[in-house]
Amino acid sequence: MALMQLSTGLKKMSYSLNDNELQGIGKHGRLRLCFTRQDGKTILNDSFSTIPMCAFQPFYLDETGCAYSYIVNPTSGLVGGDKIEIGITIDNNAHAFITTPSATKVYKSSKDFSHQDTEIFVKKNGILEYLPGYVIPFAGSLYSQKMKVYMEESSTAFILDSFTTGRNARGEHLSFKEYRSRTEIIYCDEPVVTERILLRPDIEDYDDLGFFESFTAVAVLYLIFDNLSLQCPLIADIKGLLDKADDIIGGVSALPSNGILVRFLSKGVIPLTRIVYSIFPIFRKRVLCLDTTSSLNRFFL
Amino acid sequence: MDKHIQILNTLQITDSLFPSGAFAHSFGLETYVSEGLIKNRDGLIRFLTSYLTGMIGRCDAVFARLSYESAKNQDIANIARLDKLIHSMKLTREMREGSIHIGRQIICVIGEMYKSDLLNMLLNMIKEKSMYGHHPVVSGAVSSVLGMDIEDALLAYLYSNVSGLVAAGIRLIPLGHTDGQRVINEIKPLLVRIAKEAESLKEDDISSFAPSIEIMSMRHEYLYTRLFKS
Repeated sequence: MALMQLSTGLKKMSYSLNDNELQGIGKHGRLRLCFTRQDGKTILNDSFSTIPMCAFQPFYLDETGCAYSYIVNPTSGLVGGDKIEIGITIDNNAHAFITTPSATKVYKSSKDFSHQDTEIFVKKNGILEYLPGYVIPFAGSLYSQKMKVYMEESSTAFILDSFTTGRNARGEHLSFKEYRSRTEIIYCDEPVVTERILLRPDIEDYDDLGFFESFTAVAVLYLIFDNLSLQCPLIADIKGLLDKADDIIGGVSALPSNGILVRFLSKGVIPLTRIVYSIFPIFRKRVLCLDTTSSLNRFFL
Repeated sequence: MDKHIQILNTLQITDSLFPSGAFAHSFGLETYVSEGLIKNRDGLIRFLTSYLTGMIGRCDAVFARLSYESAKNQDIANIARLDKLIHSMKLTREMREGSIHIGRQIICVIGEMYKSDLLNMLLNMIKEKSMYGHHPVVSGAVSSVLGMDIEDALLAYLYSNVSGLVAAGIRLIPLGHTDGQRVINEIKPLLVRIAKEAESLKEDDISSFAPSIEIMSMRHEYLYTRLFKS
């Protein structure tokens, strides 16, 4: 066993790695972030990361005390055998907005999958806005992602999950070998969302009616909250936006409990980004009673 | 159980006379027709192919098989667990409510006709709201109670899905009844393939993906005029 001491720029933490983990340095990246509420604002009170993952010190764009943070993988993307593990905890009453500065690119692999696993805890009255960049599975890539979100009473989340059919700008479309995705959202110990996707373009035709049709990107938004009276007005607002949006088709519906789901298919990522960031202020206003989105242009434009 | 009775049981629960309530659901097909994206027999075949491969094959059909096996072992707790799991996978309101509506209708009718402790317990759990009664889960359990073998149970389940949607297509597009039968004929090899796959898949293999059908199911909630509940 070796003892590594890492500095995140905020707080030094000790973490022990076994021999296998040492050999995996650079291949097996970990990131742990814990946000807590202190003196009226959310701070990153604990963090840990191993190469290649890192997080920036949070910054503050408005008076709400929300901590805005980037998760960064400075490498050009994931190759076969890479494994990224991300853990995020939003403590009681804390509020964090977390995004990434770029898309997750997944390179061609002969046999090993690239993995990305995310585990999130949103504690009582905590708020998480998690908008990672979309995944681009390159031709010949093998990709697997898992996301588990545990939410406590009165907590709220806005979570985006999106991917493209490949490097569309160079004409790549559904040329990856396999794309696997699993998402579970558990609210007060009850499963609210279980989504499992397995795509193998070599075996099935995903261009046809019912699948991608003529679209090249797919996204889902999970808006999770406990005030059920907000469901109908939120659905009506989002439906209005979807009806007017160009180059996408989308739908919005109530989840089994505690929230709504918005799904869209898009011609490229620009219309997708545009619609996600049109919905975001509505979510903030309706669910969080916040009108602070003008400061968020840096993320959305 | 007598082989002839078994055949008749299979025919009975897949017959359009059987009051499963499936005739009231189109599972997104009505939106496709309303938006002019499905206009003929070929369009209906494409919809059914995507619906079966994307939403049923690796998902609902596997739930039906797992529920069938649990019923064989009298494992009610596992049937309830599967029902809860599929509930969290039915992410659009109409898909979820449609599945529950059909499942409950089937178990009520079969439960009336066949004395079975397992079906009685499941019915009580549904009444007490400790179980939803989703179509694939109920269908698997009922097939087991009726003594059907697993191949027949899965084919009957898949066929009942297809016949309901073809009936919807006949009314919506519209198509003639002979065209409807041609559609079923074209889909048969796919049903056989899916049934075989569902027999070997594990719970961990369950997945579904048909984003456009899901979107059409969501948009159906807001169609101005609707013939179907979903």
